[in-house]
Amino acid sequence: MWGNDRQQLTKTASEPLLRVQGLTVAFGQQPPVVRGVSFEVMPGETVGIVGESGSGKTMTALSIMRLLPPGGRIVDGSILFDGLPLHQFTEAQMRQVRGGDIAMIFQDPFTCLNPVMRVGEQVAEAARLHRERAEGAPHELAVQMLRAVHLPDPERIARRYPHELSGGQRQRVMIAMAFICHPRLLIADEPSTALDVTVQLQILHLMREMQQQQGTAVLLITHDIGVVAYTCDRVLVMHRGQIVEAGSVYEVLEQPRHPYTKQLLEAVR
Amino acid sequence: MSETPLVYLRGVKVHFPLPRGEVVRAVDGVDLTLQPGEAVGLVGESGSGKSTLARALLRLLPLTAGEIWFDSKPLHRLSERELRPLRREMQLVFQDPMASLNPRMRIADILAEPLLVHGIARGRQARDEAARLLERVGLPRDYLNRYPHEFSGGQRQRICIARAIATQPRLLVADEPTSALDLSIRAQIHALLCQLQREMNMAILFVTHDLHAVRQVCSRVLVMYLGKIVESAPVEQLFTSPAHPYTQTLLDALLEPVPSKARRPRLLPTGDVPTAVHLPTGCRFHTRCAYAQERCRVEEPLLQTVGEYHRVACHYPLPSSPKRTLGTPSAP
Repeated sequence: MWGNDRQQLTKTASEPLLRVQGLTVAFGQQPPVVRGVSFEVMPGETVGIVGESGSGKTMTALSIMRLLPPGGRIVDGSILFDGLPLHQFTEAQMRQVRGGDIAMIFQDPFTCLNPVMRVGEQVAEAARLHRERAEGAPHELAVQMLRAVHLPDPERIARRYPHELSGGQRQRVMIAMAFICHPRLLIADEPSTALDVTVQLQILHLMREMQQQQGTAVLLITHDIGVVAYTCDRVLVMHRGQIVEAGSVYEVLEQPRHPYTKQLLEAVR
Repeated sequence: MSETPLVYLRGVKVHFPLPRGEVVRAVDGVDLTLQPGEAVGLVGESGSGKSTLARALLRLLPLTAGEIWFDSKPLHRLSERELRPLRREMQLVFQDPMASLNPRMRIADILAEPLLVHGIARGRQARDEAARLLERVGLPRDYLNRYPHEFSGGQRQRICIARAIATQPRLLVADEPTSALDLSIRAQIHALLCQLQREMNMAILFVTHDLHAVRQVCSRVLVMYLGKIVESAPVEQLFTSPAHPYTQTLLDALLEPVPSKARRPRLLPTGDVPTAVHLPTGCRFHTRCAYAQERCRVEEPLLQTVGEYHRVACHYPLPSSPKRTLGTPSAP
């Protein structure tokens, strides 16, 4: 999906936008679920993290947002975003980052949307929380964003409640919300998994389109190797909390070296 | 295909009324034929009506209109009591094996139940038969005394299949039987279904949204969209030269795990699937179709023959060459 020009671009860009080093995440006294994970994301680049359920890919993503479930904590390692140590940030500092510099999209758009709030309001709320990034009247911005994600009749959609929308429309609303503050990094956790196949393709295209417009980097978490092959520049293969293989999608998916990657690819061929 | 069909559906409609006088047209006029021993895939996205059609076919849902003939018997006219002896001829396997196995019953009793109900075997004999059924689906017979929770998802689905074939049915309806399973397990269950179909000369209606699965199990495919069958073709022909733009869209939505293949041009649908309450006029797919013309908005296309055993409901079917230049290449 990405052209080769982008790979060129990432090679010449100097500093990584996100640098995760030795990240280790554990729950209580249990053995760590993420063990010494290190990777980088360059500006504008799309990096996939692929693995089966329980591989630690979602916990890695949640650590970056500092949204680990209760009991989970970063026991070692560092997360630098544009040089800022996110792993040391306070909750108040993180609130500035979330939805601003870093946005996130989850698998199930229904549980992420407030069922008793009109969707236009919810999109506008993101702009209200980060006034410095989203200039203009929040509600008008929201309608503009709903139009940008190709929802038909955005003024009318803005007045709807989440249950009145289809799964694909809800995920478009989530994308509008994610991009309203022009994030520099988008973390997307299985953004198309709950959708029907044809809608999945539409959503992947929309994310790509928004990303290109705004020059956003994307960290895409998925179990679907087809989605990685279709959308990512680079891929990290996770297994039992560790990255077992990393490289360009062409290298890793067409000439896998690690036995686990081979096994994973074998299952889908 | 000149035999007497095992299943024959004509003009089948299943509508559900909504409170405000609106109607969900889940199945809206389906004709279908299944030959004895034939494995047919019924594919479509959620809301296409495929599961409703499968249940209606087994008379598990009331028909709004139409006829269902099974082995030359008019199912649509039979009473529940008259249907009962026919039930052993047609069995069903569901998506979630845990939800369809009683957690408090041992495997031996689960497998013996259909034998008792239909008076096929009882006691010692039923237990022996249960053991044979387990082996038939690739599980050791000493699992008989265990409970469903002791098994993995794939093993549970094997048990559900064993129960379904206990009465030696002539038709097995499998509704997304592998959608809840891991990829590697799926292929094993598909192989098992193929093997049973051959050995027992049992017809299979395989309901799924997974085109890969259809290719592994079925010889013929029916594609459903908003309550109608829009294309029917032998499986390889459907994959190599689909005639309906919707089928092309479904095939294009399959993302290969290899970047050089995954990044080919694709036919991208526009918009969302309309609801079965407010159906589009004319061709139901015209709102999302890249090739829609004025005629498609007003006139509903009927199934027409475009090749041997290949039928499509489209005014402007795609040409049959596998290498087609797409109107709107979608990959950026």
